[in-house]
Amino acid sequence: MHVEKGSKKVHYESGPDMTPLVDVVMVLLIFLMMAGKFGGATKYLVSDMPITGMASTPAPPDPTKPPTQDIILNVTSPTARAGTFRAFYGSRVNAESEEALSSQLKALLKEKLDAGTKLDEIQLYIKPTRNVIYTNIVQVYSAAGKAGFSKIGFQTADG
Amino acid sequence: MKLKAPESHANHVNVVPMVDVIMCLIIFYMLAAKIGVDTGEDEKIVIPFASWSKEIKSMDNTLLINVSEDKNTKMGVVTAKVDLQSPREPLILEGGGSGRRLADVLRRLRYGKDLKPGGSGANADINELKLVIRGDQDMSFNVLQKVLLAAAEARVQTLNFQTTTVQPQG
Repeated sequence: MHVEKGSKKVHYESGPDMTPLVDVVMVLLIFLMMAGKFGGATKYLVSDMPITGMASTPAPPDPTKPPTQDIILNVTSPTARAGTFRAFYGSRVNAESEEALSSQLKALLKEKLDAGTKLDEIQLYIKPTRNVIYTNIVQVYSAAGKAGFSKIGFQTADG
Repeated sequence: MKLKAPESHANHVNVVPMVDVIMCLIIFYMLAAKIGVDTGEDEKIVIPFASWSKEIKSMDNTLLINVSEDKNTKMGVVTAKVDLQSPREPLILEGGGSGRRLADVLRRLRYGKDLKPGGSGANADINELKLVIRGDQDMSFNVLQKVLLAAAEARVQTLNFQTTTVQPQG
């Protein structure tokens, strides 16, 4: 810094030149914004009991584990349109929307839990007909998850 | 006493706050963005909305398969990036065609080269093998059940159905 005696204008060196740094940082920022992938909106329905009802003979029950209570939820659909399905289980569950199904399944689960059955022993199998579209199956799955079922699987239409 | 800012400060734009903000953004993007991670997702597939779903913390030992339905033939179309180094490949779900059978691929991943339980090295089993199904929202259960049967045939115990939290419009 050079200050002349009696000079009115004082020139301060305000540190290093930031321009190259800003240039590089901006390039990095734009690259990361363009190249990066964000999976924020993606989530999963998790099932650890994929399927039953295969053509082959099912495995015999494990005697070391308590017997399970299976609920087989039938799902039909008159048209291949999202939101048009009917899910039923005997006379206890009969619903045509996700909200109604969720509340009916919740009541059914509460009844089973009140009767002394443990949550782990209750398995819910979704059994759609062949023409039911995936969106509607996901809605049924979501309803079962919201109702509190922890073990949700599928049963094939072929039995 | 009247204070006056040095003229040099008054004449130049102060870039320090901007650099601070940009640095924060860069650090955020470096941590949050997945760069160079290709799980083999087919972006053309429209996944369904789910009002109840979970996050998966670890994608280790996971195979993602894209499943859709051919509108003309009503046959299932399955693709997956089975090997990390190779691109996404078509897999056979039913009938003939070129390529590997989905059930065989799953069995190979599950039980190793010998396709039998037990073994070590190349024949080692992966008991924690997870399957992620990225299914088209309009495909029928007829297609999905074939994928489920292939998973059951290979004794894959954990299935994950990829969904979105973004509600469809209309």
